Amino acid sequence: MVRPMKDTRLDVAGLLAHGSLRGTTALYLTPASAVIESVVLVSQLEAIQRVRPNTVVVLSAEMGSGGWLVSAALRHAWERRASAVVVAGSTYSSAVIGLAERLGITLLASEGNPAGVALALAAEIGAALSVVDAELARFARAVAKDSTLTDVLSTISGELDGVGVSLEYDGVVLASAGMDPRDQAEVITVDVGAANAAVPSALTARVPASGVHNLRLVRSILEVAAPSVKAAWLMGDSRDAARAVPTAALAGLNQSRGSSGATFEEDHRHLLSQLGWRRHERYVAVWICHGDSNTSGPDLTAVLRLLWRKVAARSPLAKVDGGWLALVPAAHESVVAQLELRLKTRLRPALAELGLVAGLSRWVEEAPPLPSVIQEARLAAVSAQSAGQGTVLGFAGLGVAAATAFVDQDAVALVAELTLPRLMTSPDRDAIVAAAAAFLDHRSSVSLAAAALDVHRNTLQARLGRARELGVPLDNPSELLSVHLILNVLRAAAHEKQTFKDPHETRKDSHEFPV
Amino acid sequence: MRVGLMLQGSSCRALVLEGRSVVSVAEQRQAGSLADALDSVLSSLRLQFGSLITDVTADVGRVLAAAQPGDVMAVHISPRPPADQFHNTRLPASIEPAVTRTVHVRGGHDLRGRPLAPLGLNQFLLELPSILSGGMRNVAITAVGSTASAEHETRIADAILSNNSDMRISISSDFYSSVFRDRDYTAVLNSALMESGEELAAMLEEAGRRHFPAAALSYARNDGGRAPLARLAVAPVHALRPEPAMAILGAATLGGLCDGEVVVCTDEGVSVGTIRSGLPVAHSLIRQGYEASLATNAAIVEPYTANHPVRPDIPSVVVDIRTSQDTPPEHGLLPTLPGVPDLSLIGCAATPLTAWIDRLERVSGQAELQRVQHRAEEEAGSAVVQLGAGPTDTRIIESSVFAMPYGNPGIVRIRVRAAGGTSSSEENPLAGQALGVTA
Amino acid sequence: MSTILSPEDVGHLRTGAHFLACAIDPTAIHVYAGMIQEAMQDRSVELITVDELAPDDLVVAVGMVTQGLFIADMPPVGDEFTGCIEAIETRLARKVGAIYSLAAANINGIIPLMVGLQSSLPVIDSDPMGRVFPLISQTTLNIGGVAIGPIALMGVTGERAVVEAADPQRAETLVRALVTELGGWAATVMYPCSARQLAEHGVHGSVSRMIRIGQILDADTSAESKFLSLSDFLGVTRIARARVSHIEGLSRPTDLGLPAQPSSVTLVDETTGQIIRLEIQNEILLVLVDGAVAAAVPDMVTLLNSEHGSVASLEDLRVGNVVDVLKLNAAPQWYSEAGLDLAEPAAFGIPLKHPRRRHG
Repeated sequence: MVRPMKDTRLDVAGLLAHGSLRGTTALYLTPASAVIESVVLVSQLEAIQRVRPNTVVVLSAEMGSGGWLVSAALRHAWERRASAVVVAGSTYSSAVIGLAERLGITLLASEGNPAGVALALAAEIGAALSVVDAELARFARAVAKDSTLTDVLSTISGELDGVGVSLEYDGVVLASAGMDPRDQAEVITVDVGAANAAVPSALTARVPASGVHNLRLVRSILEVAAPSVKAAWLMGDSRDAARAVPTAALAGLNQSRGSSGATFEEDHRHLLSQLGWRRHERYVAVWICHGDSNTSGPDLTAVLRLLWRKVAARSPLAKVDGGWLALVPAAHESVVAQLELRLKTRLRPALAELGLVAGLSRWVEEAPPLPSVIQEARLAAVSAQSAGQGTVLGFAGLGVAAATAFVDQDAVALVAELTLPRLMTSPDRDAIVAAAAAFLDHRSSVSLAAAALDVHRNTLQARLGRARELGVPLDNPSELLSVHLILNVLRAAAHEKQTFKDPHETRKDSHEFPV
Repeated sequence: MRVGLMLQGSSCRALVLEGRSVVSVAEQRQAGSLADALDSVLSSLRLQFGSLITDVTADVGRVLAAAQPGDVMAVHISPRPPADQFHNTRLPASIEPAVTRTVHVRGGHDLRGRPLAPLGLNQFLLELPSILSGGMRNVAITAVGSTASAEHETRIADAILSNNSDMRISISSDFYSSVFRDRDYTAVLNSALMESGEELAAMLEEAGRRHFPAAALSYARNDGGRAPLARLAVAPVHALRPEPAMAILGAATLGGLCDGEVVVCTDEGVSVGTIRSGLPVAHSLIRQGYEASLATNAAIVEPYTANHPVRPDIPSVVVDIRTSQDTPPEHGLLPTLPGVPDLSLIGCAATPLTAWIDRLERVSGQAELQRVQHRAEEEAGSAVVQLGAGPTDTRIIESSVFAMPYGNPGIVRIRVRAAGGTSSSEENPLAGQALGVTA
Repeated sequence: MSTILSPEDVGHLRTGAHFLACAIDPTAIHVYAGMIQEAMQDRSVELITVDELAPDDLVVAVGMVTQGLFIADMPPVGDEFTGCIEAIETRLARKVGAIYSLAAANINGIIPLMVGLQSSLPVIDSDPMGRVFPLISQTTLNIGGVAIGPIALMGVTGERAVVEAADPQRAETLVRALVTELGGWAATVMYPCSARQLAEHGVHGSVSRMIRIGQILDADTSAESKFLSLSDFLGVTRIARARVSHIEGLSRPTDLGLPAQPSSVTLVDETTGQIIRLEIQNEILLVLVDGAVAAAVPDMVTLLNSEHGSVASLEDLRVGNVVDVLKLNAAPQWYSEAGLDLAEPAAFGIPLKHPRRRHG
């Protein structure tokens, strides 16, 4: 076999000083530095009996690091005239080191996973491939044993010395393990496919840019792990879906309107109890929906379920008509506060990224009927839509202003077309609407409105005059409320136009939420 | 200054130690009584040193060994009584006659601390009046599995005491051994010696208070430590055979040795012990051939043999206290200290307070193991404080975890030794006085 | 040839039973030996060879199965083994003709004598291990296909069970679970078989061997002459005479003579410089000399005090002490493929093939 030999022969002392053995600690160093021609990573003692002379024998971490094992490895290595034995760093007794000395074989301890030393050394020798293959085969066996996504990611991270490994969807981290490097990182990404084929997701590792890791191997490890990640995700998702059946069923039953929550509970008493819902138990509902009710993107259920684990892993998230719903047991008020806090701290960035909003029901002393709780969360979520994507809103925090969220904005716009035709066709419509709305917002105070809009008082006066010219009734008390409502809708539409730059997009609220 | 006392027969010998120097020795041989001898020795020391004496520690091992053991009733708690005469465990011949009655009570626990049988308390209460009417005052209670749970032993003890609070009761779980007959033997012997222990404690207390009202009064234990006199009445077995430990400690004190090996050449031969953190290393048992072992923590002192390893990395002290030193000691030993008599009295004078925690614990992993070990260390430390040491003056001498061979997984034995109270090398009269107040 | 055993024989048996399982605390053996010697004052027990029985005679193994070394804390009350024998006799509707030891070392090496004294049944000088193993499935009878059951058990509480399981591993699992609940040990009677089956698949001379070992070790002779006698009699070889240099216990390395239950012990042979390592897990399972396997279970490894030639307990394994590390071969059955499958290091969690497997 032809080996790519370098001109200069490698030896233990040289590599310890400024080569791939630099990161190891010499437990015993022979007086004469041994030549290194190859490296093997072994996971069985017997394998050492087949190594060539001048080989560095690296004991894989999974072999363990018991004293007897190192003793036996030293013996085999000595019999094969190996250059050195590398073991996982641990506290070794003087007895083991004494044996290395007696046999005259260098014993090195590696800080992290000894496989890293083997790979670096193999690269240096130019024989990386065989080591990589052996490593990957072992890793594939290890990762295949994991059944939960967390375990799979932990195994991958562990294999990569604890670097940050995450499953991501569209830049949103769904699950992760390990620690991202503090400084610069090399980002390596492998497609996972997904639990749902429509949701492209990626397995990502962020390894320090310092170059300790063999990036090719990192990619190979991610590729080997991807099927396990997908399998674990699928399995977890189907488990979660099964667990969410009672929640979904409850939401489905509650379609009929008009009846009170209490009546509903009475009507469906047996069914509810069969589903596992207990009366008089207090729940808080979380409703998640698209920030823009019009969006019908890919089914994000599988993605959301992973994210949801960061909030309340034990209460399943159900896909329901118009969004996602979870009912979290809340015996105390603090549970609701904590849940809201978690939604805001752990989920808000992801919700914003995915274009979603969330609403929570409020906590009351006496257990309210479940439909009321759900309704509250749904109303809070819909109110949150106007506050921008990623908003998390508690029902308890809603003001009367929330009512505007439930106004049929298309209808209002239509009314505006009919009653204020000149305003609607005016080229400076947006500025005038903004001015008039601000004026009404500030109880007809020109000064306050001007300050709020950051325009000069005279400018505002002029725009208000223009509004009156265009037929906006700013001075008739009986019409003020309606005018204010129309202006608000127009203002929001104008704002949206700026944000989305899509003139054809208009709001349309779900018919499910009559006010 | 600290005093070491040796009591024997009707004689008393005392030694005064200041730091590492012997200041004075006093002796009264063959007095009218032991109390007279003690009084005479202490009064002569008072004349010389008065209130400079901060600690008095007495070796009463020889007095106890010579004492006539009191009659004892043994209570054995186990699921069933022996079915034939062969399955009765035998006590060593020296103590067997002291057991005048053995009562069996149903009960006992397994190694996990689960009851093997409900405690036969009601049956025992029926028998109790007849037991108490016999005039016997010493009771030794030993239950199967009391290393794992002392509940049955303490309930029986409570039942006896609530009927007659004058009874002297030894329960076997106060002594650590995983062998029933060792605990039974130790509890019986302890119980048999309690009366002697009470008398000795009272005598020492009375004489000590009279001559040195501010000094801490203690007795020497066989582990090389000491304990306040009050404990002598409760656990006299620990006061048996303290001499070997005290001799090792005395030599270490003179040699300023805190960790290392102590070799003592005597007329009877050469013995060796190990000092760790200023105290002799101890075993939990005193073995006696094939017979029951005494479950008391005693210093390991062994014959020095030709095979004894010479370990240059470990400091050592070699003392030659043979009567005649015309010939060099055996094994080519070279004494590192001049021959000093009264080694064990020096040890008595120098010894710190010691306390042991020795028990089984259930652990589920490394973290829990560390937690229970830490807890045991804290308890041992606080036990030393209860004995009279200053809270800042306690240290852990030894803390070990033992796997149980063929044991239930997760059950380990935790053994911790703590010490406190001023040691000779760092003596501080003020601290000594403070101890005197709490003792 | 049948022998009536004497109290002296029991004393020697005590030493021999400890020698063959030196890593186990011998207190329970001592307790039992004392009780047996006491009982011998007015009764006797007969030791016979298996071929003195009619081939079809029913013979049973008697032995303690323990979960936690607890016999010393909870001594049997005395009716346990006789109760188990009755249970087996009832179950099989046959009388037991003789008994044999479940193991030829430690507590089970000596128990049949007490049972023999109580029941007047002769004790056969054979056993199904030829040493002691931790599992009841690790027997030469199992290798030979002799059924382990029915198994009768009785604990200290007097509670009883009969386990019928065809698979010896399952029997082991079931018995172990019962033993835990019975309090930590159970008297058991198992491997009921014919004298012919025991003759064919057992290990023979077990009890007399322990007595002979005891005679050698208890004699007032030098350590060296004791070793030579053992070597002549048993083919014992000395792996090393070495000084304990390091002990690793469960929690932390110990030094300075602190006693601990060690998991591995390193010794140095001061004449050759060899480094000897003992791996201990209840018993000594593995001996490495300079990293090379010098002995591995099922080989028996035992320790002698090199100064007095007495059995060295684990307590004697303190740093600085000198001991002789001795090796004995196990019964030949253990070195067959089936034997090694049951009892080589891998069966004890040490991923190592026995050296004899490679050569044969």
